[in-house]
Amino acid sequence: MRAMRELRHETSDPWEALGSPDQVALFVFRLLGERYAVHAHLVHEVIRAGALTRLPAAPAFLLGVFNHRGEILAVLDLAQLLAEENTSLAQGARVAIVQSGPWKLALVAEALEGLVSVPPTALEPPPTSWPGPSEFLECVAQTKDGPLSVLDLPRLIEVARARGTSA
Amino acid sequence: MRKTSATKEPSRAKARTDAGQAEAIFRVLEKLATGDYGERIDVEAIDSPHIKKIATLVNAVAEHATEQIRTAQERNQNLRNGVQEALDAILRVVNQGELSGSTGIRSDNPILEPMIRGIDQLLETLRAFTLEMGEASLQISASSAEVLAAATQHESSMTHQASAVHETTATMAELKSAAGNIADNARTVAAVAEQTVVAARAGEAALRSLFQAIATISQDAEAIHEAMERLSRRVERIGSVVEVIDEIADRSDLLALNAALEGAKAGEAGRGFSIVAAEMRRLAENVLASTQEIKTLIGEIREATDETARATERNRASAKEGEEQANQAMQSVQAILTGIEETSDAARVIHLATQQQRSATEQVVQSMTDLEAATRQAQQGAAQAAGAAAELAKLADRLSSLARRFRVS
Amino acid sequence: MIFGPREVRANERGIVVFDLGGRRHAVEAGTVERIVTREEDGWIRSTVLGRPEHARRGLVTTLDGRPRTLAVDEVLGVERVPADSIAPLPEVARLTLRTRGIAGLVARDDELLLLVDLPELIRESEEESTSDA
Repeated sequence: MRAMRELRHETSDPWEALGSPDQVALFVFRLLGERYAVHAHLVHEVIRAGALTRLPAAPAFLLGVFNHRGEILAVLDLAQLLAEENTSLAQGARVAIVQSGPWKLALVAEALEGLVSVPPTALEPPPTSWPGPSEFLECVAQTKDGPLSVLDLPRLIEVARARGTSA
Repeated sequence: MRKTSATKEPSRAKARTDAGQAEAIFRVLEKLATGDYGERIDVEAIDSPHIKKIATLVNAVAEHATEQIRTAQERNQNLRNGVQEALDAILRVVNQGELSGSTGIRSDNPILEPMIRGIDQLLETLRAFTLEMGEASLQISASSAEVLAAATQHESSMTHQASAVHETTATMAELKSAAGNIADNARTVAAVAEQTVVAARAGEAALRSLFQAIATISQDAEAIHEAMERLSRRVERIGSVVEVIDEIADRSDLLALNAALEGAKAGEAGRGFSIVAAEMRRLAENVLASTQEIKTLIGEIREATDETARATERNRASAKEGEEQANQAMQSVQAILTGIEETSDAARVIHLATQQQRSATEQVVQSMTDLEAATRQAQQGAAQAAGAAAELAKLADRLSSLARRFRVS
Repeated sequence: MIFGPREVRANERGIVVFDLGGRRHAVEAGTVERIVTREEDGWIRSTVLGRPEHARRGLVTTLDGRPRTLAVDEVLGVERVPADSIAPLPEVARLTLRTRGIAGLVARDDELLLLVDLPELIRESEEESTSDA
């Protein structure tokens, strides 16, 4: 799978990530004090953020753009998108480069943890009364370290676009 | 029976019988014995010639007694009157001080008469004494007043003298010690004066050179000031030139920019043009950089010249001041020198003089001390005299007032 | 897109590099009529790029037939850059940016400069001021 090939992960157990096709690979990060994840196949790579060019008249979640090996990518603040809270981006902090359909961009979170693998049975639909932002949740994954809120990345990007144009 | 006015009507005792008649006589005799002489026997009523005779005798005794009593009473009364008068006279003397006359009592009563005479004599004596006393007290009063006045005068003079002496003694003591000091110091002064003359001469020389130096500084300061002025003017000129160059460079830069712009718009064809324009821009930038440096430099120079000008001004002012002060110092030193030279001579003279003066002063002080002691004694004596005189005056006064209480004329 | 050291390529574009409000920008040379230093017409000082600090220069462009001048702090120069050092904004940025004044980005000297769409920038600023007034 293309996602697997391009995958560069920083997890303690690399074999776990490859795992069996039955397993669901998730990329975990910490955000708003909680543990979130996106499907691992959406994640291109994790890199250290270089010089960020800020853009004028940008929405709060758009931190700027940067040059990634000849490609210019937008950097989005997940915390802003989900809860309108700022993430302070230190020089050299980790960002995750993700792609959803035609959209390729960089995501910033408090901390990027790495890959986990869960059986499909561990996935549950999101509860109706979720204290956090629910419109972006695809499901909740139960792991040995606790529940993960799995984000619906395409939906997230769609909402970001909508917010940008409406502002 | 005979009746006497002095006695009451003797009661007639009717004697009828001999026994009865004897009874009547006994009754009268009893009364006589008790002191009652008022009874008489009715002799006519008595028949017996013996009893008649006794009765007549008894009556005569009674009568006699009565007469005696009457006389005695009279005499007593006279005596009493006389005594009363004498007493009154004495009382008059005592109460009213009436010594001017005698008692005015004549009496041939042998008891009374000496008494009255005695009283008269007493009055006379008193009169004389009082007169004498009055005179004496007047004299004493006058004398004591004189004494008091004199004593008071004396006392105050004494006090003045005492304090004057005291002052003199004190002054003399000071003078003595001062003289002592001077004598000691004079020796030192003579020596010091010598040294000071030397030092002052050296100081004079130093001052003179200082004077020179200050004058030079003053001149230099003037020169510096002028030089600063010239520099300032030049800097100003440079400044304005630089401004012009700046303007030109900036315009060149702009021209070059626009030329480059045209070159860029022309694409390939304009490449050469762009290069020339770029060079021109570099040139203009260099010029601008240089002028910026010059401007910075000018700024620094201006600051420096301002600072120097201020300092120079201060220097000028202080140099002027220094000059004046040096001048004054010079004058002072010269005065000191003159003074010192005089002092040097004087010091020697003083030394000798003070030696003499010291002993003389000592003598004076001694005399003064003695005089002071004597004055103090005299002062005390005068005080006592004054006190005594005052007492005496008081006494005289009392005496006088006493004497005045008696009328002597 | 290939970026390499600056070489003279057949495919080049001319840009004017300028400083404004503490940041460095670029604009296509073709859109700049002239660079001026004296303010004759009203210079535009208020755009999404921020306000100039000392406005030493002005970039003159033609908008609807009339000349308009953007006040900038410094003009660093007119440069030729390889065409492939110029890139459009990422789609997400393009869609969410609340201005039409940024055309793209220029890779120059290891930094990304904002490529300014000068006419749009000025038009937008005039629309802002008219809507404010």
